[in-house]
Amino acid sequence: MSTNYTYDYIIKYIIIGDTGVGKSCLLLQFTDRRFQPAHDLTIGVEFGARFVDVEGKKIKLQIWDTAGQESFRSITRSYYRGAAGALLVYDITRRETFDHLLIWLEDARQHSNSNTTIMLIGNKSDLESKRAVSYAEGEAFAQQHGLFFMETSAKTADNVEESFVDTAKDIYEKIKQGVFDVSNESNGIKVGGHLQPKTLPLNTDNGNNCC
Amino acid sequence: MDFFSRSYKGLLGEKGQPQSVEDTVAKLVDRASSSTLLEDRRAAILGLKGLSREYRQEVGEKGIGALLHILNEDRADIDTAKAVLEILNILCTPDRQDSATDVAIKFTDEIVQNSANINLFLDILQEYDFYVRFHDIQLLGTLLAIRPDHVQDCVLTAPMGISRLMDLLGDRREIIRNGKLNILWSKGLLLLISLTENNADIQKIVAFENAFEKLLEIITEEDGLNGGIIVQDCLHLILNLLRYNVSNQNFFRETSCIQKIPPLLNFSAEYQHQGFDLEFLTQDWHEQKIANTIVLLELIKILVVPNNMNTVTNQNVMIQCGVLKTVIELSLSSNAPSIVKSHSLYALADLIRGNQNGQEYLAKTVVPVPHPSQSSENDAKSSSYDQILIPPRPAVMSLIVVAVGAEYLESYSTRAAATYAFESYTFNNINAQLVLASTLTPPPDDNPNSEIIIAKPQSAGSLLLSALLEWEDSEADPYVVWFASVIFSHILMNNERSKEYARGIFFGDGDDNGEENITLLHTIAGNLMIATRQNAERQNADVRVLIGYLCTLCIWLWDSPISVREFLSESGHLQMLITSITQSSGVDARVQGLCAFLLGICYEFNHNLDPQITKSTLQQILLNRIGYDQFVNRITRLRESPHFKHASQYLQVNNSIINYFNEAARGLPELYFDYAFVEFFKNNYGKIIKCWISQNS
Repeated sequence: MSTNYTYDYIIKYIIIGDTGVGKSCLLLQFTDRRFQPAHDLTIGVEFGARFVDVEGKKIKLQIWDTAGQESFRSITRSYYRGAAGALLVYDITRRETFDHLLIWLEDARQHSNSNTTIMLIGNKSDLESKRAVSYAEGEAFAQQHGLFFMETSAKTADNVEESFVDTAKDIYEKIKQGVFDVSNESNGIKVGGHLQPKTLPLNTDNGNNCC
Repeated sequence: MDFFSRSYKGLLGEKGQPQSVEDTVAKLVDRASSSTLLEDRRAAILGLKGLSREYRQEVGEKGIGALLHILNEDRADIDTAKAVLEILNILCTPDRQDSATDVAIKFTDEIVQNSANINLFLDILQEYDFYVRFHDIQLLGTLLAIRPDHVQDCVLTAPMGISRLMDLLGDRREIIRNGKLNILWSKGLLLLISLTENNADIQKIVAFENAFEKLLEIITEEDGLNGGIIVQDCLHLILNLLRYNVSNQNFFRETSCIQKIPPLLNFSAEYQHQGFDLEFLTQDWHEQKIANTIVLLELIKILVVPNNMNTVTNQNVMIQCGVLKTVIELSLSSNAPSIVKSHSLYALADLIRGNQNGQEYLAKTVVPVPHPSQSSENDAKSSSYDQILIPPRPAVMSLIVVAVGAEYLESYSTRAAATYAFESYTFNNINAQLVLASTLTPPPDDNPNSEIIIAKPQSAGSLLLSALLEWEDSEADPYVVWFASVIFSHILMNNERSKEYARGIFFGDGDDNGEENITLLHTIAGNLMIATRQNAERQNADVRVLIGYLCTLCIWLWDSPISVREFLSESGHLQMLITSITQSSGVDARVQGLCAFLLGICYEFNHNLDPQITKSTLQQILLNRIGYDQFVNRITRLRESPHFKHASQYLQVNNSIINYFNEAARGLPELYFDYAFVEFFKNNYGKIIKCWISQNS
């Protein structure tokens, strides 16, 4: 059980992108290492969590998987600001999901923290025969907008682990460089107890808190 | 106030003649929106504020649009912003009486129909001035109370909406030293509570904004459950975030918040796995602490609702991190007041229901025995610990003791909760049933002359049996027998080996002085016969005793031909059933129904083991002495009786007002049927009705 596990950092992610591109499946593959072909439509937002290891640091990823449908857009925006990482997902077999990336990106840029690391993900790479967006196009889009890029398959698990971990690596790099104000949790990062230079003991002595 | 009087005088016209209110309001609104000088606009607003209480309708109808516009434009001016918010709040607050048709509703609708207005109010939360924020929060609360859905939707679509609200719960250490900020803080908390009521999306965003961690931190800083009403409010908000919200429940668990529950209950971590924490067992229970504890227990229950997807995972975390141990000791060994114990026992029940780990944990747990004087409130601290602690006994036995009131009398709801917890322990747990059945034989008696019951060595089972058979005092407390019969039924339910153990129990000295040994089954049936007679003669047998015994027999004989044979071997038993069923008056309909059901069970599971009373004998009796229609009617009437239909699923004592008046004199709850029995009956009565026919054809 991971529940008692201590962590060095907690990092919040969100997953965004059009409906049906496989956001929930990516999350499920990452947290539970399984694939569910007939996943229910996400309503609002769902939560998942997992530990990853970056340079020997235990990082707990808290991931909010958002609904892609237009009608939930206004709700999901509330999650942008508090996330340090965002996975922006499209479906390589459906051109329109790629065409909508600009809208998503604008939305994310407008509502999120300027330091948020965004990873562009072309999902469903197992469906090569139905491909409608080439790898080069995805890569070019990412380069143009300063995003990381990866093609994944939630079905075969190809690159799924990497996409989450590489995002964490970049965020960790930013933490080391002092880009994030880690004392402010609304930036989507929380430092584990033993790494914090000065903290007040919270749960240690319940016997006599006199003041 | 100079500008105020100046402008107001100006409105009175040249000759100072009085004007109508409408005219005055119209002029003020006009000035407020079109004067070039901020000072003039502000003066007009203050004029409107002066009129708004008395002439709510006029000010609202003429001014609401202008006021909102002004707030948008002039909000940088503190006095204007403050006054406008105050006016809007006055306009939207209904008078107590006749609130449905109040103009306040109309004005509220006018405001909330445009989400930009709510956004504006949310933005204003960031302002520095105390009174601006105070009236702003007040106004949001007023609107929310009248049109919760609208306001919730608006807040959701404002990207920073929830963040602004959560900012109100900022650094509490700063706030606590500042009385004014403290007020804003509490108001903000209450606003969040009503905002998160029944809206899963808002609940998730609030959780995303680190609400759990913030709130738990605040609770700890406020001295946990010993703290004041703030603790209750914080817990209430957490409860709102978790109720019916699986995603947030996962988040709560994954952020290790469950582990923070035992320390909140003042349960020290060093006793998490062994030993007893005396400080925990003997706390001071003030009223606010009781309220706080009950909300926290409610929170535990929300995470382990029977049959939910996440229940088993949550249960396991709670077992592992000491929540279960905390709850067991709070329920069975502490000096907590009865109402806390009853909530705690229900939590205990849900913590182990359907979870083998939890059931095993309970089975091997021993708990200190509270001293009788412990259960009364105030002298708790004065009694010595030695008396409470020695000797510890199995928790399961303590459950039975509480349920049947063997040592000290708890409230009915606490006893019902203990019974329900016991049901959870035996639910899908054949081993537990067998272990308990094997303790039905009393342990060897060291001192047969001892008169004190407690001094006798007791096992869980023998203690249960003495309660089960003690029906003579049932007028004062029929629930000794009733709870005992529910518990006993759950030991036997669908478990032939348990039934076999039970059939091996007999009473009497037997061989030594020539008396016949009487088996347990016959003793229960015999008690039932006497109690039935006494009940008919309006003597001291409560109908609950009859129902308790009959339900027990139904469970015992179901699917157990050997038990059926034993029951029928005494001809009086069958006679009693026939008499009860055929009486046209004077017998409780529920009792008649149960007798018919039991007779049906005797028929269905009669494998002709006894040549004296075979299936066809019973069929003749049914056809000739009772009549098939009457048989069916009796069963139907039971099925339709209100107490049967509305049996509480969690064996909860119903404290309705009707009950209060009906039974006030005796103070007895309206518990007649265990839900598990009702389910058992509903699943099987069809079969019992039809079995006679299929045999016929």
